[in-house]
Amino acid sequence: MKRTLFIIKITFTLLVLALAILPVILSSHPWPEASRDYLYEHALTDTGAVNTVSSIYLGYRAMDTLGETLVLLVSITGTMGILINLGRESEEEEAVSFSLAPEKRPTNAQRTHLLEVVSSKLGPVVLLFGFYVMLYGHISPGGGFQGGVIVASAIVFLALGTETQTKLTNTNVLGRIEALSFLVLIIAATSGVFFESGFFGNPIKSGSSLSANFIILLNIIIGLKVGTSIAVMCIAMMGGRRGH
Amino acid sequence: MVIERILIFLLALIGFTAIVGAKNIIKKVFGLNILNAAVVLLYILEGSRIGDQAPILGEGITNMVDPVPQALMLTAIVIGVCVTALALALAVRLYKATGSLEIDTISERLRSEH
Amino acid sequence: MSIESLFLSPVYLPMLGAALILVTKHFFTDRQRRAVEYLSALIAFIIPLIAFIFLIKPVLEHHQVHMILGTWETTLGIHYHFDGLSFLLIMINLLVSIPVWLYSRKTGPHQETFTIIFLIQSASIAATSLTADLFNLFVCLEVMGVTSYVLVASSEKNKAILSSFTYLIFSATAMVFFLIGTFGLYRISGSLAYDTIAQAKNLLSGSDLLVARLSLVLIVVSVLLRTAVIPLSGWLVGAHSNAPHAVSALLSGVLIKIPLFALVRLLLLVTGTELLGSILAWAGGISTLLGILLALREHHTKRLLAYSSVSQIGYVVTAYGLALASGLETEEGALLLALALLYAFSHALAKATLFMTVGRACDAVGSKDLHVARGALSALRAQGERFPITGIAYLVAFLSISALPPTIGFWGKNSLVYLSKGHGANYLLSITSVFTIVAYLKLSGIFLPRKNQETQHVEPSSTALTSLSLIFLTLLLLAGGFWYTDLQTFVVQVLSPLGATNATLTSYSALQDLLKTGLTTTIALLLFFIGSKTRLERYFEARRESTASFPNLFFGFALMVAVMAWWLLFPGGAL
Repeated sequence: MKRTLFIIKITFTLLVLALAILPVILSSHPWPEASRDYLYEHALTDTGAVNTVSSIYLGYRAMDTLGETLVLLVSITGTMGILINLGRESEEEEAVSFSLAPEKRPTNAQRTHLLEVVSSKLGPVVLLFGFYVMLYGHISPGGGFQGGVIVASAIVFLALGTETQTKLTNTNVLGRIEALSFLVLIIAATSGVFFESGFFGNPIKSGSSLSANFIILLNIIIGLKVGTSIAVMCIAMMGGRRGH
Repeated sequence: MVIERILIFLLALIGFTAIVGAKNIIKKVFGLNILNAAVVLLYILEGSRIGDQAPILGEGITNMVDPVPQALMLTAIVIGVCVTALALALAVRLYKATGSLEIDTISERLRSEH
Repeated sequence: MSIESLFLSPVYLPMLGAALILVTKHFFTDRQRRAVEYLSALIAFIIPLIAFIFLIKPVLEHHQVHMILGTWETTLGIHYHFDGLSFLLIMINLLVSIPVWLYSRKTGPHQETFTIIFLIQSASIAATSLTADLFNLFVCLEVMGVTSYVLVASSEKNKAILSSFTYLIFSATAMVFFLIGTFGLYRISGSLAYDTIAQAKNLLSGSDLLVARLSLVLIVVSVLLRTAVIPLSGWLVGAHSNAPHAVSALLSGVLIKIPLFALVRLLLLVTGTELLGSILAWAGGISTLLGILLALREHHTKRLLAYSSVSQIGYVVTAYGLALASGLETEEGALLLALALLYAFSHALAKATLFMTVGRACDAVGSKDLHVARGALSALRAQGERFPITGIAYLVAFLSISALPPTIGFWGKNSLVYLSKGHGANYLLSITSVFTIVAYLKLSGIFLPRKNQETQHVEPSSTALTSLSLIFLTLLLLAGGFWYTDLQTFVVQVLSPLGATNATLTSYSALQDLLKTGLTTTIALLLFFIGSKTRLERYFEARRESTASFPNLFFGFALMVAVMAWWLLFPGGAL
């Protein structure tokens, strides 16, 4: 009886929702071209970006990007807060407080030497690539989020490897960069209010050759924020580096 | 054409079935991801119908695809990833608390708690 | 400073505050971080409050601001719209968030990042009230959602983790359906701004109209999930009862109402939503009765309060639905919407106070079970509370939610029920008023003196901030009651550019209502005494706690979509 009730509920749910979304997906209304045409004309002069996608999400609709950054901040804070208590149960570890208890790593003995050497050699290269993607976001596909994630994976490589000694994998340093870049982002967003171009407006007058600088600035800040926060979470889940 | 959209629809349906019907909570999170991916594909696919060149201005670019869905989906993908991370952290915590990943066992064991 | 720069302050000032706290957390000591938290709360809540006091006059003069963020000149940008509705919603948020935050200093979650997330949630609530763009609404709702999941999970009890997980999966899936709806509407209209979408939709016909209506249904049901009407309310009991007390107060007070009213902006511009309103009115009515019956079955204090939230939000949704059904441009519709908002305000105050006082009482007594918890007043006095502020605040909130004078709830609920006469849901609302009083009488048991006079050893704790927040809320509840007619005139006038110009509540007699209230209270007292003396209560009560299961949650979601889609697609005579 319980089983049949379960089946009925699931079938009803699937049927109704499938029927509800099917017409929307299969609609044959022609896709609107007005935005594309507008951007074709005005994206470069309004925002200074050649990549029209960047001009949308960092120019015309920058508030959505801000919201997205807030989601990232809150979810990473929440994830660390939820997982942080797991490490407290195993007290005999050294002062690494975030690790998942079964993943005890007193030494790096579980990783092969091959992994450590290769990833520490790859780390700086990937880091450079990440910064490239971040900075060139307004000219070619890329941008703050994409570059930031690549930077995060580079930092994880550096943390996995042991050949390099760098402060970049210290969670304190990363946390500070994250906090500062978030503050600069909010200040950049609010600066528009005081510069008469509205909230999240471009404080540099559009049309001049400098107006792309605002997008580059936003790309860098967002990239740093995203990169460092994801890196902190990954390093914390890995159990920290040996010696930390 | 239509066949692509039917496939996207089936993908969304598979994801949704996993969310509702799967007993393992990790599979529910998989389902959420599949559903998100299906919707992202839908937006990008439909937005690309009106052109055939990448939306980056330059020499000889006359027929771009619509950049608006791509920008919207950037946001949606990041939000989806963040929510997945949070869901997985909660799932790990539930596993530590009850020793099981099946939703029915978890509710049973937590119900009898304190 | 012009009005343009003032009205966005509740959006960016909390974000600024959160950024400051984050920086202090990483660079300075713990004590300095706590100090900066107070500074940020000042920036985030008090400065916008002052700014909004300056905005009272422009809002009364129906000065609306419709702008595109960033002053771009195309509809591709994000439209924001400030008018009376946003003003009122943001005021509700500020007036409830301030006491809740003060309360959390002593009682609430003590994690380092609590205030950061609290402030970000406040910013997202303000942004939801102001936005006039569909995808921005999606992003703001997601920020609100993610902060809720994290805040509920900050309780660290395992049940809270499960409730947070359930809420997360349910809400995230609904937001994907919201995205599908946005897809449909963008395809139809080529824009994401409410006014362009509505303009395009009102000209449609044939299969395009079908697609547009379905998309709208998906969007409306996804937003209704956050409001937790029956059948979409399965997640609320777990989340609100297992969260920390301050978080429950905020969630029940503010977060279940703002998305509902943010949707008004879109529904206002779209024609043909009368049937949608009727469905909402019935859903609200059923929600009211079912919610309170489920509340009566509970013997866990916070679960009782959570089910009562489901019941009370039903009142708001009924009035809202009736407003939609009569058309928001008519006098009657505008008045109903104003009453819905006023009742939402009074419930926000009352429910926040209830969660905070009951939370404190249960902590002092050490149990949340109604059969066990007794003697809260003496326990609180042992903890250092000289004057029984918690008890008095509880009493006033009890009066407000039971619709007894002289609180704001008395006027608000009775005006609402009066205006709903003529619609079937009116009977449901009236019956529920009786049961509400019974349920809260049952809850008040925790304040009765203990049977055996054993003293409990509790450490005295200073209660200054908590008392301050409770006094603030109590004063608001009473002030709202004394000056209700002025408040109502203010709200109606502020909202009236949405509808007709001078709607007034005529032919409403307070005397009639006093008689009705007296009758309701007497019946309730009788029922309560009969129930508690006989063993009837024990048979009625829930044996085991029910946890929301995923098939049930999504079944409710599909049911709501089915009902709305059926009615919107086959309008049976109307447009």
